[in-house]
Amino acid sequence: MPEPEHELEKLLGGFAADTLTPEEREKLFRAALQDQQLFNALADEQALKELLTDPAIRRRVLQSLARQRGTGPSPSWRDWFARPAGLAWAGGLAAGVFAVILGLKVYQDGLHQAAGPAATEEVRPTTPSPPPQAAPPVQAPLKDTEPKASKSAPLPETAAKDAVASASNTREKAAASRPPQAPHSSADATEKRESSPQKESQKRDATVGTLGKSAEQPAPAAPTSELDRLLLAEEKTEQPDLSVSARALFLGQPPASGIASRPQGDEVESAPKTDRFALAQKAPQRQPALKPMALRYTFVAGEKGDRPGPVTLTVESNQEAYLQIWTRAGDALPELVLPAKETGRISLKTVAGQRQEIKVSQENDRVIVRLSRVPFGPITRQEAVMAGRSAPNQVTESASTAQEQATYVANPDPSASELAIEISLSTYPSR
Amino acid sequence: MDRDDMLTALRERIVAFAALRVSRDHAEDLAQDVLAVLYDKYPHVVELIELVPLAFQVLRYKMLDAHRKALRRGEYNQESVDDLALPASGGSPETQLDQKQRVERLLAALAQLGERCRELFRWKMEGKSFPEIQTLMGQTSVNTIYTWDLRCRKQLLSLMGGSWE
Repeated sequence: MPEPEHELEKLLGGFAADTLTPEEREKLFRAALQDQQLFNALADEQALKELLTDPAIRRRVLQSLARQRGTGPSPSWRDWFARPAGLAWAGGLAAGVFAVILGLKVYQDGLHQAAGPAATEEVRPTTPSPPPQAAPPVQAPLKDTEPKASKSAPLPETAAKDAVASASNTREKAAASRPPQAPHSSADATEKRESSPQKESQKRDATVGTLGKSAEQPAPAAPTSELDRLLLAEEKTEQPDLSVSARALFLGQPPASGIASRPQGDEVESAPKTDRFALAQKAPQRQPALKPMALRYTFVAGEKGDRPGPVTLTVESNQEAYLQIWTRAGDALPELVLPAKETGRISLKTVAGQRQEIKVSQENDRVIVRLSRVPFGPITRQEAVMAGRSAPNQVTESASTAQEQATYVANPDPSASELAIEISLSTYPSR
Repeated sequence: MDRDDMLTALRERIVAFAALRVSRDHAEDLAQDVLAVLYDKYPHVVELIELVPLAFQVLRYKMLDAHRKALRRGEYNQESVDDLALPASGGSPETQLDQKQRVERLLAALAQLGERCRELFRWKMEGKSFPEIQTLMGQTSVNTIYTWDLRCRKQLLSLMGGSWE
Protein backbone atom coordinates (compact mmCIF):
# COMPACT_ATOMS: atom_id res chain seq x y z
CA MET A 1 0.00 0.00 0.00
CA PRO A 2 1.65 3.24 -1.11
CA GLU A 3 2.40 5.77 1.54
CA PRO A 4 0.70 9.15 1.22
CA GLU A 5 2.90 11.64 -0.50
CA HIS A 6 3.02 14.05 2.39
CA GLU A 7 4.14 11.25 4.69
CA LEU A 8 7.12 10.40 2.49
CA GLU A 9 8.05 14.02 2.05
CA LYS A 10 8.85 14.07 5.75
CA LEU A 11 11.64 11.61 5.18
CA LEU A 12 13.47 13.98 2.87
CA GLY A 13 15.29 15.61 5.75
CA GLY A 14 16.74 12.30 6.76
CA PHE A 15 17.95 11.65 3.24
CA ALA A 16 20.25 14.68 3.19
CA ALA A 17 21.59 14.01 6.64
CA ASP A 18 21.85 10.32 5.86
CA THR A 19 20.06 9.37 9.03
CA LEU A 20 17.24 7.27 7.60
CA THR A 21 16.75 3.77 8.80
CA PRO A 22 16.90 1.01 6.10
CA GLU A 23 13.13 0.71 6.24
CA GLU A 24 12.60 4.43 5.77
CA ARG A 25 15.12 4.49 2.97
CA GLU A 26 13.45 1.60 1.14
CA LYS A 27 10.08 3.24 1.51
CA LEU A 28 11.32 6.62 0.32
CA PHE A 29 13.25 5.43 -2.72
CA ARG A 30 10.54 3.05 -3.83
CA ALA A 31 8.08 5.90 -3.67
CA ALA A 32 10.49 8.22 -5.49
CA LEU A 33 10.55 5.88 -8.47
CA GLN A 34 6.78 6.11 -8.67
CA ASP A 35 6.38 9.78 -7.83
CA GLN A 36 8.05 12.42 -9.95
CA GLN A 37 7.58 15.18 -7.41
CA LEU A 38 9.27 13.17 -4.70
CA PHE A 39 12.02 12.22 -7.10
CA ASN A 40 12.61 15.90 -7.94
CA ALA A 41 12.72 16.78 -4.28
CA LEU A 42 15.26 14.04 -3.62
CA ALA A 43 17.36 15.14 -6.54
CA ASP A 44 17.37 18.66 -5.18
CA GLU A 45 18.35 17.38 -1.77
CA GLN A 46 21.37 15.75 -3.30
CA ALA A 47 23.27 19.04 -3.20
CA LEU A 48 22.80 19.34 0.52
CA LYS A 49 23.52 15.66 1.00
CA GLU A 50 26.77 16.05 -0.84
CA LEU A 51 27.69 18.99 1.33
CA LEU A 52 26.91 17.22 4.55
CA THR A 53 28.63 14.03 3.51
CA ASP A 54 32.00 15.79 3.82
CA PRO A 55 33.17 15.04 7.36
CA ALA A 56 35.03 18.36 7.61
CA ILE A 57 31.94 20.36 6.68
CA ARG A 58 29.76 18.24 8.95
CA ARG A 59 32.13 18.91 11.85
CA ARG A 60 32.08 22.62 11.10
CA VAL A 61 28.30 22.71 11.02
CA LEU A 62 28.16 20.84 14.31
CA GLN A 63 30.61 23.25 15.93
CA SER A 64 28.59 26.17 14.67
CA LEU A 65 25.39 24.71 16.09
CA ALA A 66 27.04 23.98 19.42
CA ARG A 67 28.49 27.50 19.61
CA GLN A 68 25.12 29.05 18.89
CA ARG A 69 23.60 26.90 21.56
CA GLY A 70 26.17 28.00 24.13
CA THR A 71 26.35 31.68 23.25
CA GLY A 72 22.84 32.41 22.21
CA PRO A 73 21.11 33.49 25.40
CA SER A 74 19.35 36.44 23.89
CA PRO A 75 17.27 34.52 21.36
CA SER A 76 16.37 31.96 24.04
CA TRP A 77 15.39 34.84 26.36
CA ARG A 78 13.21 36.19 23.62
CA ASP A 79 11.69 32.76 23.16
CA TRP A 80 11.14 32.52 26.90
CA PHE A 81 9.39 35.85 27.02
CA ALA A 82 7.29 34.92 24.02
CA ARG A 83 5.71 32.05 25.96
CA PRO A 84 2.64 32.75 28.09
CA ALA A 85 4.24 31.12 31.12
CA GLY A 86 7.32 33.31 30.71
CA LEU A 87 5.19 36.40 30.47
CA ALA A 88 3.27 35.38 33.57
CA TRP A 89 6.50 34.88 35.49
CA ALA A 90 7.88 38.20 34.35
CA GLY A 91 4.65 39.98 35.27
CA GLY A 92 4.52 38.36 38.68
CA LEU A 93 8.13 39.21 39.37
CA ALA A 94 7.61 42.83 38.32
CA ALA A 95 4.54 43.11 40.55
CA GLY A 96 6.49 41.64 43.47
CA VAL A 97 9.35 44.07 43.03
CA PHE A 98 6.91 46.96 42.80
CA ALA A 99 5.15 45.83 45.98
CA VAL A 100 8.44 45.59 47.88
CA ILE A 101 9.52 49.06 46.72
CA LEU A 102 6.15 50.52 47.64
CA GLY A 103 6.21 48.80 51.02
CA LEU A 104 9.68 50.15 51.78
CA LYS A 105 8.61 53.65 50.80
CA VAL A 106 5.53 53.51 53.02
CA TYR A 107 7.62 52.16 55.88
CA GLN A 108 10.21 54.91 55.48
CA ASP A 109 7.51 57.56 55.31
CA GLY A 110 6.06 56.16 58.51
CA LEU A 111 9.44 56.39 60.20
CA HIS A 112 9.90 59.97 59.03
CA GLN A 113 6.52 60.96 60.38
CA ALA A 114 7.10 59.25 63.69
CA ALA A 115 10.58 60.69 64.09
CA GLY A 116 9.33 64.11 65.19
CA PRO A 117 7.91 63.19 68.62
CA ALA A 118 10.80 60.84 69.27
CA ALA A 119 13.29 63.62 68.75
CA THR A 120 11.34 65.88 71.01
CA GLU A 121 11.47 63.29 73.71
CA GLU A 122 15.18 63.05 73.23
CA VAL A 123 15.77 66.74 73.81
CA ARG A 124 13.43 67.26 76.67
CA PRO A 125 15.27 65.34 79.41
CA THR A 126 18.04 67.92 79.29
CA THR A 127 15.86 70.69 80.65
CA PRO A 128 13.86 69.52 83.65
CA SER A 129 14.40 68.64 87.30
CA PRO A 130 18.11 69.26 88.04
CA PRO A 131 18.82 71.91 90.62
CA PRO A 132 18.67 75.44 89.31
CA GLN A 133 22.43 75.86 89.36
CA ALA A 134 22.86 72.74 87.25
CA ALA A 135 20.67 73.97 84.48
CA PRO A 136 23.12 76.21 82.59
CA PRO A 137 25.88 73.55 82.30
CA VAL A 138 23.31 71.22 80.75
CA GLN A 139 23.11 73.53 77.79
CA ALA A 140 26.85 73.53 77.26
CA PRO A 141 27.45 69.91 76.28
CA LEU A 142 24.43 70.06 74.04
CA LYS A 143 25.93 73.03 72.33
CA ASP A 144 29.13 71.13 71.75
CA THR A 145 27.65 67.98 70.49
CA GLU A 146 24.41 69.08 68.91
CA PRO A 147 24.62 72.57 67.60
CA LYS A 148 21.19 72.41 66.00
CA ALA A 149 19.53 71.52 69.27
CA SER A 150 21.36 74.23 71.17
CA LYS A 151 20.20 76.78 68.68
CA SER A 152 16.65 75.85 69.38
CA ALA A 153 17.12 75.80 73.14
CA PRO A 154 16.23 79.42 73.85
CA LEU A 155 13.03 79.07 71.88
CA PRO A 156 9.79 78.24 73.62
CA GLU A 157 9.13 74.54 73.87
CA THR A 158 6.76 74.27 70.95
CA ALA A 159 9.05 76.19 68.69
CA ALA A 160 11.89 73.99 69.80
CA LYS A 161 9.77 70.97 69.01
CA ASP A 162 9.29 72.20 65.47
CA ALA A 163 12.91 73.08 65.06
CA VAL A 164 14.09 69.79 66.37
CA ALA A 165 11.66 67.84 64.25
CA SER A 166 13.54 68.83 61.12
CA ALA A 167 16.73 67.42 62.52
CA SER A 168 15.09 64.39 64.04
CA ASN A 169 16.15 61.88 61.42
CA THR A 170 19.81 62.61 61.69
CA ARG A 171 19.74 62.62 65.45
CA GLU A 172 17.74 59.47 65.69
CA LYS A 173 20.03 57.66 63.31
CA ALA A 174 22.96 58.79 65.36
CA ALA A 175 21.28 57.58 68.52
CA ALA A 176 20.43 54.25 66.95
CA SER A 177 23.93 53.68 65.70
CA ARG A 178 25.51 54.86 68.93
CA PRO A 179 27.70 52.24 70.51
CA PRO A 180 26.69 50.82 73.85
CA GLN A 181 28.92 53.30 75.67
CA ALA A 182 26.86 56.10 74.20
CA PRO A 183 25.55 57.26 77.60
CA HIS A 184 29.01 58.71 78.20
CA SER A 185 28.29 61.44 75.73
CA SER A 186 25.79 64.12 74.98
CA ALA A 187 22.32 64.08 76.44
CA ASP A 188 22.72 60.59 77.79
CA ALA A 189 25.69 61.70 79.85
CA THR A 190 23.63 64.50 81.26
CA GLU A 191 20.86 62.11 82.03
CA LYS A 192 23.27 59.79 83.78
CA ARG A 193 24.57 62.61 85.90
CA GLU A 194 21.03 63.45 86.80
CA SER A 195 20.34 59.93 87.90
CA SER A 196 22.82 60.18 90.73
CA PRO A 197 21.80 58.78 94.13
CA GLN A 198 21.09 62.26 95.41
CA LYS A 199 18.73 62.91 92.55
CA GLU A 200 17.08 59.54 92.88
CA SER A 201 16.20 60.11 96.48
CA GLN A 202 15.11 63.60 95.63
CA LYS A 203 12.96 62.20 92.89
CA ARG A 204 11.33 59.70 95.18
CA ASP A 205 10.63 62.19 97.91
CA ALA A 206 9.61 65.00 95.75
CA THR A 207 6.03 65.80 95.09
CA VAL A 208 4.98 66.33 91.57
CA GLY A 209 4.71 70.03 92.07
CA THR A 210 8.45 70.37 92.50
CA LEU A 211 8.99 68.86 89.11
CA GLY A 212 7.15 71.61 87.34
CA LYS A 213 9.71 72.68 84.87
CA SER A 214 8.20 75.95 83.88
CA ALA A 215 9.56 77.50 87.04
CA GLU A 216 13.04 76.09 86.45
CA GLN A 217 13.34 76.84 82.81
CA PRO A 218 15.20 79.95 81.93
CA ALA A 219 12.75 82.66 81.08
CA PRO A 220 12.45 82.91 77.34
CA ALA A 221 13.39 86.17 75.79
CA ALA A 222 10.61 88.68 75.53
CA PRO A 223 8.57 88.05 72.43
CA THR A 224 9.70 90.38 69.79
CA SER A 225 7.14 89.59 67.17
CA GLU A 226 3.57 88.47 66.81
CA LEU A 227 4.79 85.00 65.88
CA ASP A 228 6.84 84.77 69.06
CA ARG A 229 3.85 85.84 71.13
CA LEU A 230 1.68 83.21 69.45
CA LEU A 231 4.29 80.52 70.02
CA LEU A 232 4.60 81.51 73.64
CA ALA A 233 0.84 81.47 74.09
CA GLU A 234 0.64 78.06 72.49
CA GLU A 235 3.37 76.78 74.74
CA LYS A 236 1.49 78.00 77.76
CA THR A 237 -1.65 76.20 76.71
CA GLU A 238 0.28 73.03 76.02
CA GLN A 239 2.05 73.03 79.35
CA PRO A 240 0.19 70.45 81.41
CA ASP A 241 -0.77 71.27 84.90
CA LEU A 242 1.57 69.06 86.84
CA SER A 243 0.31 69.89 90.24
CA VAL A 244 -1.17 66.47 90.66
CA SER A 245 -0.05 63.41 92.49
CA ALA A 246 1.08 60.36 90.56
CA ARG A 247 -0.45 58.23 93.28
CA ALA A 248 -3.73 60.05 92.90
CA LEU A 249 -3.68 59.51 89.16
CA PHE A 250 -2.96 55.85 89.67
CA LEU A 251 -5.77 55.49 92.15
CA GLY A 252 -8.19 57.11 89.75
CA GLN A 253 -8.60 60.57 91.09
CA PRO A 254 -9.53 63.01 88.35
CA PRO A 255 -6.65 64.94 86.85
CA ALA A 256 -6.19 68.59 87.42
CA SER A 257 -8.77 70.86 85.89
CA GLY A 258 -6.33 72.26 83.36
CA ILE A 259 -5.94 68.87 81.79
CA ALA A 260 -9.48 67.67 82.15
CA SER A 261 -10.84 70.73 80.46
CA ARG A 262 -8.50 70.39 77.56
CA PRO A 263 -10.48 70.53 74.34
CA GLN A 264 -10.88 67.42 72.21
CA GLY A 265 -8.79 68.99 69.53
CA ASP A 266 -5.77 68.47 71.69
CA GLU A 267 -6.19 64.79 71.29
CA VAL A 268 -5.68 65.25 67.61
CA GLU A 269 -2.68 67.42 68.22
CA SER A 270 -1.14 64.97 70.58
CA ALA A 271 -1.82 62.01 68.35
CA PRO A 272 1.77 61.93 67.10
CA LYS A 273 2.81 61.28 70.68
CA THR A 274 1.66 57.71 70.19
CA ASP A 275 4.60 55.42 70.40
CA ARG A 276 6.07 55.29 66.97
CA PHE A 277 6.84 51.65 67.39
CA ALA A 278 3.37 50.72 68.53
CA LEU A 279 0.98 48.93 66.25
CA ALA A 280 -1.55 51.70 65.86
CA GLN A 281 -3.86 49.58 63.79
CA LYS A 282 -4.39 47.27 66.73
CA ALA A 283 -5.28 50.10 69.06
CA PRO A 284 -8.61 49.65 70.77
CA GLN A 285 -11.19 52.29 70.04
CA ARG A 286 -10.39 55.31 72.12
CA GLN A 287 -13.01 56.21 74.66
CA PRO A 288 -14.20 59.80 74.85
CA ALA A 289 -12.68 60.33 78.32
CA LEU A 290 -9.31 58.67 78.63
CA LYS A 291 -7.81 57.77 81.93
CA PRO A 292 -4.28 59.05 82.41
CA MET A 293 -1.78 56.26 82.28
CA ALA A 294 -0.16 55.35 85.55
CA LEU A 295 1.71 52.48 87.11
CA ARG A 296 3.01 51.44 90.45
CA TYR A 297 6.12 49.45 91.08
CA THR A 298 7.79 48.00 94.10
CA PHE A 299 11.08 46.29 94.73
CA VAL A 300 11.82 43.52 97.17
CA ALA A 301 15.49 42.68 97.58
CA GLY A 302 16.17 38.98 97.93
CA GLU A 303 19.04 37.37 99.80
CA LYS A 304 21.26 34.50 98.82
CA GLY A 305 23.15 33.57 101.93
CA ASP A 306 25.18 36.55 102.97
CA ARG A 307 25.01 38.12 99.55
CA PRO A 308 22.09 39.94 98.08
CA GLY A 309 19.99 37.85 95.73
CA PRO A 310 17.82 38.79 92.80
CA VAL A 311 15.45 41.69 93.19
CA THR A 312 11.76 41.06 92.76
CA LEU A 313 10.04 43.81 90.80
CA THR A 314 6.27 44.09 90.92
CA VAL A 315 4.52 46.32 88.40
CA GLU A 316 0.85 47.15 88.31
CA SER A 317 -1.04 49.42 85.94
CA ASN A 318 -4.16 51.45 86.55
CA GLN A 319 -5.93 50.34 83.42
CA GLU A 320 -5.96 47.78 80.66
CA ALA A 321 -2.68 48.26 78.84
CA TYR A 322 0.30 46.52 77.34
CA LEU A 323 3.44 46.08 79.35
CA GLN A 324 7.08 45.59 78.48
CA ILE A 325 9.95 45.27 80.94
CA TRP A 326 13.56 45.41 79.85
CA THR A 327 16.65 44.94 81.98
CA ARG A 328 20.01 46.45 81.29
CA ALA A 329 23.45 45.70 82.66
CA GLY A 330 25.99 48.49 82.41
CA ASP A 331 26.53 49.63 78.88
CA ALA A 332 25.08 46.48 77.39
CA LEU A 333 21.96 46.68 75.29
CA PRO A 334 18.65 46.06 77.05
CA GLU A 335 17.11 42.60 77.25
CA LEU A 336 13.37 42.06 77.13
CA VAL A 337 12.36 40.05 80.18
CA LEU A 338 8.60 40.58 80.17
CA PRO A 339 6.91 39.09 78.23
CA ALA A 340 9.33 36.19 78.47
CA LYS A 341 11.11 35.09 75.33
CA GLU A 342 9.42 31.71 75.50
CA THR A 343 6.01 33.27 74.91
CA GLY A 344 7.13 34.60 71.56
CA ARG A 345 5.31 37.86 72.24
CA ILE A 346 6.58 41.38 72.74
CA SER A 347 3.60 42.89 74.57
CA LEU A 348 2.00 41.58 77.73
CA LYS A 349 -1.58 42.57 78.14
CA THR A 350 -2.41 43.54 81.68
CA VAL A 351 -5.51 44.87 83.34
CA ALA A 352 -6.01 47.34 86.14
CA GLY A 353 -4.76 46.00 89.44
CA GLN A 354 -3.10 42.95 87.95
CA ARG A 355 0.39 42.63 89.35
CA GLN A 356 3.20 41.46 87.14
CA GLU A 357 6.21 40.16 88.99
CA ILE A 358 9.68 39.49 87.68
CA LYS A 359 13.03 38.70 89.24
CA VAL A 360 15.91 40.87 88.21
CA SER A 361 19.33 39.32 88.58
CA GLN A 362 22.30 41.01 90.21
CA GLU A 363 24.07 41.71 86.94
CA ASN A 364 21.41 44.18 85.86
CA ASP A 365 21.59 47.68 87.20
CA ARG A 366 18.66 49.22 85.34
CA VAL A 367 15.12 48.28 84.48
CA ILE A 368 13.03 49.88 81.74
CA VAL A 369 9.29 49.64 82.19
CA ARG A 370 7.02 50.57 79.30
CA LEU A 371 3.26 50.74 79.41
CA SER A 372 1.17 51.44 76.36
CA ARG A 373 -2.47 51.60 75.41
CA VAL A 374 -1.67 49.73 72.19
CA PRO A 375 0.46 46.65 71.62
CA PHE A 376 4.11 47.39 71.14
CA GLY A 377 5.63 46.97 67.76
CA PRO A 378 8.97 45.27 67.23
CA ILE A 379 11.98 47.42 68.10
CA THR A 380 15.68 46.79 68.13
CA ARG A 381 17.60 46.67 71.36
CA GLN A 382 19.26 49.96 70.43
CA GLU A 383 15.85 51.53 70.04
CA ALA A 384 14.85 50.14 73.43
CA VAL A 385 17.50 52.38 75.00
CA MET A 386 15.66 55.42 73.70
CA ALA A 387 12.24 53.96 74.33
CA GLY A 388 12.96 53.89 78.07
CA ARG A 389 13.14 57.65 78.35
CA SER A 390 10.41 59.27 80.33
CA ALA A 391 8.12 61.89 78.92
CA PRO A 392 8.88 65.37 80.32
CA ASN A 393 5.49 65.81 81.87
CA GLN A 394 5.61 62.42 83.49
CA VAL A 395 5.37 62.49 87.27
CA THR A 396 6.86 60.15 89.83
CA GLU A 397 5.92 59.82 93.44
CA SER A 398 7.20 57.54 96.16
CA ALA A 399 4.87 56.41 98.84
CA SER A 400 6.58 55.22 101.97
CA THR A 401 3.93 54.64 104.51
CA ALA A 402 3.33 51.95 107.04
CA GLN A 403 0.99 50.23 104.61
CA GLU A 404 3.07 50.41 101.49
CA GLN A 405 6.43 51.25 100.00
CA ALA A 406 5.88 51.82 96.33
CA THR A 407 6.66 54.25 93.58
CA TYR A 408 3.97 55.69 91.37
CA VAL A 409 4.61 56.94 87.88
CA ALA A 410 1.93 58.70 85.86
CA ASN A 411 1.44 60.91 82.89
CA PRO A 412 -1.24 63.48 83.71
CA ASP A 413 -1.93 64.02 80.04
CA PRO A 414 -4.80 61.64 79.23
CA SER A 415 -3.92 61.70 75.57
CA ALA A 416 -0.52 60.22 76.19
CA SER A 417 -0.57 56.67 74.97
CA GLU A 418 2.60 55.44 76.55
CA LEU A 419 4.38 55.59 79.83
CA ALA A 420 8.03 54.72 80.16
CA ILE A 421 10.45 54.81 83.01
CA GLU A 422 14.01 53.72 83.52
CA ILE A 423 14.72 52.65 87.07
CA SER A 424 18.26 52.53 88.35
CA LEU A 425 18.63 49.54 90.65
CA SER A 426 22.09 50.50 91.81
CA THR A 427 20.70 53.51 93.63
CA TYR A 428 17.75 51.74 95.05
CA PRO A 429 18.14 51.75 98.83
CA SER A 430 17.03 48.22 99.43
CA ARG A 431 19.72 46.85 97.17
CA MET B 1 11.41 -5.01 -8.64
CA ASP B 2 14.63 -6.14 -10.31
CA ARG B 3 17.55 -3.96 -11.41
CA ASP B 4 16.30 -3.42 -14.96
CA ASP B 5 12.91 -2.33 -13.74
CA MET B 6 14.58 0.06 -11.38
CA LEU B 7 16.79 1.53 -14.11
CA THR B 8 13.80 1.94 -16.42
CA ALA B 9 11.94 3.82 -13.77
CA LEU B 10 15.01 5.86 -12.99
CA ARG B 11 15.46 6.89 -16.62
CA GLU B 12 11.90 8.12 -16.81
CA ARG B 13 12.28 10.16 -13.61
CA ILE B 14 15.67 11.56 -14.59
CA VAL B 15 14.42 12.77 -17.96
CA ALA B 16 11.42 14.45 -16.35
CA PHE B 17 13.59 16.04 -13.70
CA ALA B 18 16.27 17.28 -16.11
CA ALA B 19 13.65 18.57 -18.55
CA LEU B 20 12.66 21.11 -15.92
CA ARG B 21 16.12 22.61 -16.08
CA VAL B 22 17.43 21.98 -19.57
CA SER B 23 15.92 21.23 -22.93
CA ARG B 24 14.13 17.95 -23.55
CA ASP B 25 16.87 16.65 -25.86
CA HIS B 26 19.54 17.60 -23.41
CA ALA B 27 17.53 15.95 -20.66
CA GLU B 28 17.41 12.74 -22.69
CA ASP B 29 21.16 12.90 -23.12
CA LEU B 30 21.67 13.46 -19.42
CA ALA B 31 19.53 10.46 -18.52
CA GLN B 32 21.39 8.37 -21.05
CA ASP B 33 24.73 9.39 -19.58
CA VAL B 34 23.62 8.56 -16.06
CA LEU B 35 22.32 5.16 -17.01
CA ALA B 36 25.50 4.43 -18.93
CA VAL B 37 27.57 5.05 -15.85
CA LEU B 38 25.26 2.89 -13.74
CA TYR B 39 25.38 0.09 -16.28
CA ASP B 40 29.05 0.15 -16.98
CA LYS B 41 30.67 1.20 -13.74
CA TYR B 42 28.24 -0.07 -11.09
CA PRO B 43 26.80 -3.35 -12.37
CA HIS B 44 27.16 -4.80 -8.89
CA VAL B 45 24.76 -2.26 -7.34
CA VAL B 46 21.41 -4.01 -7.37
CA GLU B 47 19.70 -2.94 -4.18
CA LEU B 48 17.12 -0.19 -4.43
CA ILE B 49 18.41 1.65 -1.38
CA GLU B 50 21.88 1.84 -2.99
CA LEU B 51 20.99 2.28 -6.63
CA VAL B 52 18.65 5.24 -6.29
CA PRO B 53 21.05 7.42 -4.24
CA LEU B 54 23.84 6.48 -6.61
CA ALA B 55 21.68 7.60 -9.53
CA PHE B 56 21.07 10.92 -7.80
CA GLN B 57 24.79 11.40 -7.25
CA VAL B 58 25.71 10.61 -10.86
CA LEU B 59 22.89 12.80 -12.10
CA ARG B 60 24.17 15.71 -10.04
CA TYR B 61 27.69 15.39 -11.42
CA LYS B 62 26.39 15.10 -14.92
CA MET B 63 24.30 18.23 -14.50
CA LEU B 64 27.25 20.12 -13.04
CA ASP B 65 29.30 19.00 -15.94
CA ALA B 66 26.63 20.21 -18.35
CA HIS B 67 26.59 23.51 -16.51
CA ARG B 68 30.33 23.93 -16.89
CA LYS B 69 30.02 23.01 -20.52
CA ALA B 70 27.44 25.75 -21.02
CA LEU B 71 29.81 28.16 -19.34
CA ARG B 72 32.38 27.38 -21.90
CA ARG B 73 29.99 28.90 -24.39
CA GLY B 74 29.31 25.97 -26.54
CA GLU B 75 32.75 24.44 -26.43
CA TYR B 76 32.30 20.74 -26.66
CA ASN B 77 33.35 18.85 -23.62
CA GLN B 78 35.74 16.25 -24.91
CA GLU B 79 36.23 14.78 -21.54
CA SER B 80 34.51 11.48 -21.12
CA VAL B 81 32.01 11.05 -18.32
CA ASP B 82 33.79 7.91 -17.39
CA ASP B 83 36.90 9.86 -16.55
CA LEU B 84 35.11 11.92 -13.92
CA ALA B 85 35.72 10.73 -10.42
CA LEU B 86 32.42 10.31 -8.61
CA PRO B 87 33.49 11.19 -5.08
CA ALA B 88 35.04 14.55 -5.86
CA SER B 89 37.32 14.50 -2.86
CA GLY B 90 39.69 17.18 -4.02
CA GLY B 91 37.88 19.26 -6.55
CA SER B 92 39.03 22.12 -8.63
CA PRO B 93 39.59 25.55 -7.11
CA GLU B 94 36.30 26.57 -8.66
CA THR B 95 34.50 23.68 -7.02
CA GLN B 96 36.22 24.36 -3.75
CA LEU B 97 35.18 28.00 -3.86
CA ASP B 98 31.63 27.03 -4.69
CA GLN B 99 31.56 24.56 -1.87
CA LYS B 100 33.02 27.09 0.55
CA GLN B 101 30.38 29.63 -0.36
CA ARG B 102 27.63 27.10 0.03
CA VAL B 103 28.92 26.15 3.45
CA GLU B 104 29.02 29.79 4.50
CA ARG B 105 25.46 30.27 3.35
CA LEU B 106 24.38 27.12 5.13
CA LEU B 107 25.99 28.21 8.41
CA ALA B 108 24.44 31.67 8.15
CA ALA B 109 21.04 30.14 7.49
CA LEU B 110 21.39 27.70 10.38
CA ALA B 111 22.18 30.58 12.71
CA GLN B 112 18.85 32.14 11.85
CA LEU B 113 16.85 29.05 12.65
CA GLY B 114 14.94 28.68 15.89
CA GLU B 115 16.25 26.75 18.84
CA ARG B 116 14.20 23.65 18.09
CA CYS B 117 15.26 23.51 14.45
CA ARG B 118 18.91 23.97 15.36
CA GLU B 119 18.66 21.22 17.94
CA LEU B 120 16.96 18.91 15.45
CA PHE B 121 19.57 19.66 12.83
CA ARG B 122 22.32 19.04 15.34
CA TRP B 123 20.96 15.59 16.19
CA LYS B 124 20.80 14.81 12.51
CA MET B 125 24.38 15.93 12.01
CA GLU B 126 25.36 13.60 14.82
CA GLY B 127 23.83 10.77 12.81
CA LYS B 128 20.78 10.22 14.95
CA SER B 129 17.79 8.61 13.24
CA PHE B 130 14.31 10.08 13.55
CA PRO B 131 13.20 7.53 16.17
CA GLU B 132 16.33 8.35 18.17
CA ILE B 133 15.68 12.08 17.83
CA GLN B 134 12.12 11.44 18.96
CA THR B 135 13.45 9.97 22.19
CA LEU B 136 16.07 12.69 22.62
CA MET B 137 13.51 15.43 22.18
CA GLY B 138 11.04 13.70 24.46
CA GLN B 139 8.26 13.32 21.93
CA THR B 140 5.69 10.55 22.02
CA SER B 141 5.25 10.29 18.26
CA VAL B 142 7.91 10.15 15.56
CA ASN B 143 5.49 11.91 13.25
CA THR B 144 6.02 15.04 15.35
CA ILE B 145 9.70 14.87 14.54
CA TYR B 146 8.99 14.30 10.85
CA THR B 147 6.75 17.37 10.81
CA TRP B 148 9.23 19.52 12.67
CA ASP B 149 12.00 18.39 10.36
CA LEU B 150 9.95 19.14 7.26
CA ARG B 151 9.16 22.65 8.48
CA CYS B 152 12.72 23.30 9.58
CA ARG B 153 14.09 22.09 6.28
CA LYS B 154 11.72 24.33 4.36
CA GLN B 155 12.71 27.26 6.54
CA LEU B 156 16.38 26.48 6.02
CA LEU B 157 15.90 26.20 2.27
CA SER B 158 14.11 29.51 2.26
CA LEU B 159 16.91 31.13 4.25
CA MET B 160 19.42 29.80 1.74
CA GLY B 161 17.58 31.45 -1.11
CA GLY B 162 15.36 28.55 -2.23
CA SER B 163 18.17 26.26 -3.38
CA TRP B 164 20.83 24.13 -1.78
CA GLU B 165 23.20 24.98 -4.62
